[in-house]
Amino acid sequence: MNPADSLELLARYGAVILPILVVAEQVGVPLPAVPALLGVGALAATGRGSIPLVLGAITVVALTVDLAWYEVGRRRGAPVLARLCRLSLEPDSCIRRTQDIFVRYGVRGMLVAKFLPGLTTVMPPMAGIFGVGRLRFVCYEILGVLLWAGLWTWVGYLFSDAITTIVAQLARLERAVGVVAAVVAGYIVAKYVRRRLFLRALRIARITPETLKSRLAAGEAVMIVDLRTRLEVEATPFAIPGSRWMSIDELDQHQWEFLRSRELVLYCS
Amino acid sequence: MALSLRRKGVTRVHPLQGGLAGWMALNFPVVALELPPARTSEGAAAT
Repeated sequence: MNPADSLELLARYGAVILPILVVAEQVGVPLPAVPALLGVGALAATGRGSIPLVLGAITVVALTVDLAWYEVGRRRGAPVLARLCRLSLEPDSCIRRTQDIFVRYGVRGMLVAKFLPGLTTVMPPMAGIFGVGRLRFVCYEILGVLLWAGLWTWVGYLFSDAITTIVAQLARLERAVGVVAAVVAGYIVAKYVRRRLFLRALRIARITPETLKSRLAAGEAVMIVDLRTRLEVEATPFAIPGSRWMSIDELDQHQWEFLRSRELVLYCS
Repeated sequence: MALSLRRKGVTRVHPLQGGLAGWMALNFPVVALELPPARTSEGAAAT
């Protein structure tokens, strides 16, 4: 389907298509909701579509789905986050980034979560895990959705002429768009394969608790690093004797040099 | 996280099988861990 057909489809079924795209994003499927929102804004500027109707539909659907994720987080706790982050290209940094945002900004982080790829999926269960009140969650969720969807449709509305021109140009450059899409898909596949290979290498390098204990008893110079997040430590405030809790993001150059010269045993929860 | 370490040039890395939960399940010794105060967005320590 070429971009001009997509715009035509949006004009007819925007109030149905947009909520579907938003839900897909909420469950971790990277479908292009932002271009569709820009399209809705551009169409509304020419009198072909209703922004309030689309925003209302998105808000109702997003709230329903996110409230379900919130309840799952509230009842099941931290393991839910780990499962959700597996869908991300960078699962480890996904978990840390989300928890860091919540520790720093609390529920206010939900106002910007929809603007950051991947965060929109993990923030609602995170709010449940942190015990944010339901009413508070609903208020921030609605504000966050309206801010995100409202901003992009407003931009589309303001620049409707430019968007219409771009869509017409893209229709002519259909083959070039296909090449760009293939390059992006290739990048994602390459990153995934690289990660699988690395994880395989890590599995081989694993050390069992029994081996670590006997190596420590033998006085071997092994540095043990506790990589749990602050949230995880608060949940289980214990550590392996002799280990160091580290926030990797805050290490300076000198500390990195030190780590490079040592044999490390890492542990999480 | 191990991937981030590898990118920074830390190569001799062994993840602990089962993590802390696996260690504690075997009744191996642990110590209490008290964290320093968290840094807020303003850079100051949270109270």
